[in-house]
Amino acid sequence: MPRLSLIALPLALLLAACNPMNSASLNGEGGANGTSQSQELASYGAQPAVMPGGLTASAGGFDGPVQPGSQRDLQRFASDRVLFDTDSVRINQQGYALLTQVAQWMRANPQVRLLIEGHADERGTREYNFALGDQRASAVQQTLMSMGIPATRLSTVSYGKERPEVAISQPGAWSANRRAVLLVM
Amino acid sequence: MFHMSNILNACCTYVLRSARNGVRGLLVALGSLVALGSLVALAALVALGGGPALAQQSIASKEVELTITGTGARQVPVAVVDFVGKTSQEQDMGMEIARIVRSNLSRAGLLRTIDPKMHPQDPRAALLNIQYPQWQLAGSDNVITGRIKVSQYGRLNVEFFLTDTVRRNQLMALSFSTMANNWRRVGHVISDEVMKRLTGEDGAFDTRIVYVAESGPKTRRTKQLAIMDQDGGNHRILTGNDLLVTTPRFSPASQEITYVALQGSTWRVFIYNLETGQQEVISDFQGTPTAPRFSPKGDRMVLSISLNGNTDLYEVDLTTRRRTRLTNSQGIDTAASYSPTGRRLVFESDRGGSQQLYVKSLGTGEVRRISRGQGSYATPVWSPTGEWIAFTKRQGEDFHIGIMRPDGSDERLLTSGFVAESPTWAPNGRLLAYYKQEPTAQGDSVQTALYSVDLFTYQERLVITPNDASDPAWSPRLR
Repeated sequence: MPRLSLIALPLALLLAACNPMNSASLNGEGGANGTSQSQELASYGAQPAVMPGGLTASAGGFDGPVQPGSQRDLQRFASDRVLFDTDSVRINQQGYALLTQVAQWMRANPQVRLLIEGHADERGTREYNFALGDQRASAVQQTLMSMGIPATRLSTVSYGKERPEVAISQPGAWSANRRAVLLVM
Repeated sequence: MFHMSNILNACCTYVLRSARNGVRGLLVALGSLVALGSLVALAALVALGGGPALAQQSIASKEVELTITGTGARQVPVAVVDFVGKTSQEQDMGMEIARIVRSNLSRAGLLRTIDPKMHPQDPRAALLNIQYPQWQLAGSDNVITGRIKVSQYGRLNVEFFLTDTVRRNQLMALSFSTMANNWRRVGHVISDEVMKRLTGEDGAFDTRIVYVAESGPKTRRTKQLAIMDQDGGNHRILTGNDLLVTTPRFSPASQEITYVALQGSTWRVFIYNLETGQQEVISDFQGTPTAPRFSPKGDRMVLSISLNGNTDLYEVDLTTRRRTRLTNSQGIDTAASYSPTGRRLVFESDRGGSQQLYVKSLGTGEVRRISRGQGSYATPVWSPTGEWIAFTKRQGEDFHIGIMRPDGSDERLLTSGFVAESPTWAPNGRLLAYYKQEPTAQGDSVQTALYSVDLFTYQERLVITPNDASDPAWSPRLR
């Protein structure tokens, strides 16, 4: 029976969470996943997490030049999240427009690969929400593929309801949590 | 090691009453017997002494079922006297074991324990010679006494006696021997024996619950696998914070737990062996695996795999690791659970539009929808007795935990909450545990806690855990 090797990612997440401003320095030391995750948290941390609606993609308190092909570059050029209606996996008009920009950005940055996270709000069962998150991530993947981005540059993961972006239990927060997040790998 | 021996036989006739109107009751006329359960447990515990099969048969053959109607049903009163010991260590352990038995039995619904302050005799006197009229006056139809001894090698010997003060009979006299650090388990085994003897019902005291221990803010929750006795004792965290653990389930046949955990950005199905402490990844599937559950014999596993936006059920042979696809429908098929025979599966699917429950025969492949009510249905779990399917239901603003018959009839909702999900059956098929989550009013905190409900009394109880808790899974009987 193979024993598991431990991965240092959650520690990096915790540290990033404690001090979002310092997470940039952690990024250089982490693996590919650690890097993108920490950046994602950093952008959450830059927002007051109780206000739904104001959370779409902001580079927050980062200063300095934006690296082409980086997460911040994606956030600045387009957005790194697509929102969904309740219990829906359909890419709406706004989402489609956004993904058109993302596809354009990916063509301009051919080295970039994206991990697409699918998320659900807390108003469903855990198992169902895993499947729903997968459907959302897949819908984004399929849409980008239909725009000419090869499948090899796009992978998906579902977080179900395990990683809400906004904690509070109210409809505004739920709509912010029904999302797909695009992470530069 | 644990053994149990028959000290003496007893004769009695006993009338049992269920605690709830209209629920079934039993009139049991017993011949000469002491019901003996063999203790084959955890690490191959060996049963010595009288033949359990024989004793149980003699109960079954003389059982007469009757239905109790009206409001006359009552709880059987029982006094649990502190167990007697010579040294202060023995005294303390004796009091603790009695406290565990008292606490177990008073939570059981069918029994009522007598406050020790009302006991008419002190423990030593009661052990030597029970004054029947005095206990009768105290309202105690049954008295449990015991004595304990810890050997110089750290072995614990416990004798316990169950006495019927109405008929002035000793109903049970059993002795146990085990390592002293196993003393809590002695309390649970005694509780199960007394429950069975006084009510005819199987207890679920000598069992454990695994669950997900949660901590940290809601947006960055830490989730670890934890285990405890059903009463919260012997609590242990089993996994580190490198894994985000969800949906653990016990094997009905072995000391193994399966769960899905996020490692890095990949979800994997694990099996945790409680005897060796080893974790094993079951497979690195293409796609995201979720909702694993063991077959009744523990030789197979059903799980869901999400791939390209489609979630279907698969069965994995745990010996060969061969994977078979069970469903192939558009949309979401997930949260499958085997019937006790392993021949059927109940699962949730949105193939008809909304989430509903379906039963699939593994022999014929036939699939039938069973849920009929309003709302959507999820996470069905077949009871160990086969009589019920527990489920999570979403209707209106709330989540509900309910049960229905395997054909979908007789639906009953047992409890509700902002979030209430993940029902799990105790091995006796009478108790359900689940978790509830409170809405987050402000900030980034979240409260989750385990509860259990008794299907006879409909009493809901908070299961105390050191941390926030979710996704409970009840163990099979330990012996």
